[in-house]
This record gives sequence, C-alpha cells and structure tokens, in this order.
Amino acid sequence: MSRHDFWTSALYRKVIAQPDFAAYIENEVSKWKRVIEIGKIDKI
Amino acid sequence: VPFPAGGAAGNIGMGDAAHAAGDGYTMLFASSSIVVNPSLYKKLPFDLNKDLIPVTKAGISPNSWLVNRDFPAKTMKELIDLMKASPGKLSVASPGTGTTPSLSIELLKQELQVSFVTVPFAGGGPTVQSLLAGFTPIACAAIGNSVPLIKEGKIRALAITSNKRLATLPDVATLDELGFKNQQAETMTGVFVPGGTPKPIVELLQKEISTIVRMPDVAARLLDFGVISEGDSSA
Repeated sequence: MSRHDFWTSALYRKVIAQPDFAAYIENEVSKWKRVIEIGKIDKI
Repeated sequence: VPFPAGGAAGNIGMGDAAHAAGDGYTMLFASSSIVVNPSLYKKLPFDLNKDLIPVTKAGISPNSWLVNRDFPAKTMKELIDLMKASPGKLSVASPGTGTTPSLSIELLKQELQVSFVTVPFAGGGPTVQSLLAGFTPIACAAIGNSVPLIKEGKIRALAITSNKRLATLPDVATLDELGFKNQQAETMTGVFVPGGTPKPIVELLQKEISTIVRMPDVAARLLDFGVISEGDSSA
C-alpha cells in the first residue's frame, strides 16, 4: 500500500473519524436509503 | 474564509471539499444532503465512504409540520384525519426533492398510509413564504426558518420530528409524543474534512468546534434560529 493509498484508505478513515459522528452518519445514510427505496423515489 | 458552493443539492461544494488537500485548511460544513444524496443521485463527485472524514455534528434543526394560521386543522391528529378524509387532495410544501423534510413527508406517507400532493420548492425560505401566503396550506420544513413566524402567530407548528421538544418552542410537541412513531428526523449541519487529513488535526477541529457550538451564548443564538447545538464527544 502506497502512502497515498494509506491516507485515503477506509481503515485510516475508520480509525481517525470521530466515532459518535461517524456512526450517526452511517445510520442516517441507511435510514434515508430505506425511505427512498420503499418510496420508489427515482434517482436523479 | 467561507466559500459558499451551492448548486446540485450541495454536490458541487461537497465534491470540491472532498478533493481538496487534507491539510486541515479545508473544512466542509454540510447539511443532511450529504447523507441523502448517495441514495438519491446516480452519480456523485465524491465517495462519502472514502473521500471525507466526519469530524463533528455542529447542530441539528428538527423538521416540523406547519400550517397556515387559517388552516382548519389545529392539531397533528386533525391534519392526519383531513389527509385520510380527502386522499390526494391536500398540498404539502417541501424545501425540495431530497431534503430531509421532503423525506419526512415520505416517511409520514409510508407509516400512516396517507396520500397528498407534495409541492417541492427551492429551499426552506420559499417554502415558508408560500405557506405564509396560503398558496400551500401545509408544509414540512426544518424549523429554523419558521421560529419567528411561529412565535408571532403567523403560522402554526403542529409537531416537530425530533426526539425532544425545542426549548425555544416548548409548546410544540414531538410526533413521537403524539403517538406517531418512527418519524424521527432532522436537518443536520456536520463538519467534514478531506480524506487524508492527519488525525491530530481532525481531533483538534472536533474539540474546538464542539467547544464553540456548546458555548452558552453561541448555543442560545443558534436556538433562536431553531438549531440545537451539538458537538460530539471526543473519542
């Protein structure tokens, strides 16, 4: 893994992102994805 | 230096920030479009899971169900009863497709099996203007734009979508309190930095921004606009 790849890797992001907020973001993405799918809202 | 980069539901600004240098000198203040757009757009100029690091949630504004002051429904239950009595007839204004208020509208439809016409506007301001004028008698919007008008009695808030009441509008109940479950939603302001930003910088920004938004005078000022300051705890 190159230095650039490491700095942009999911692992690095997971390690340094603030855990409370990162978990909140993941939950929000999942929640609205579900609403959009159930509502059959067309992608733009 | 603030650099407003609106357009394409925030995608342009989010893409710019995502591909900036991760040196701590570029921060992104994003709304909830950052958590909605990955599911709504076929193509985005950034990958939320790769290009941006979440730093902290600066604040949230509950979404709210609002009616023109002359609208017959005085409570959320009365509004739902009206929707059920005249399916597809009522018009509900939203701040635009893909905003969390527009998805709160969708959530209400899905949970309560009600039907009405959603009228998307270009943002919260025009939504509330139309509500105020009575062109669209019902609206769902982040409550921030509406607090002064609610206090002046020019529009009425029937409910908010957060888990707890807003201190500045203590008489407005939450949907959950009123028995409408699974409706929790909010419009967020979050801070992100480009991928590759060193950990000490991320931690410093998280700590300082959280401290600032929790300062009593800052929190009080934000609350005037219907925004609850947050600031996530440190790791």
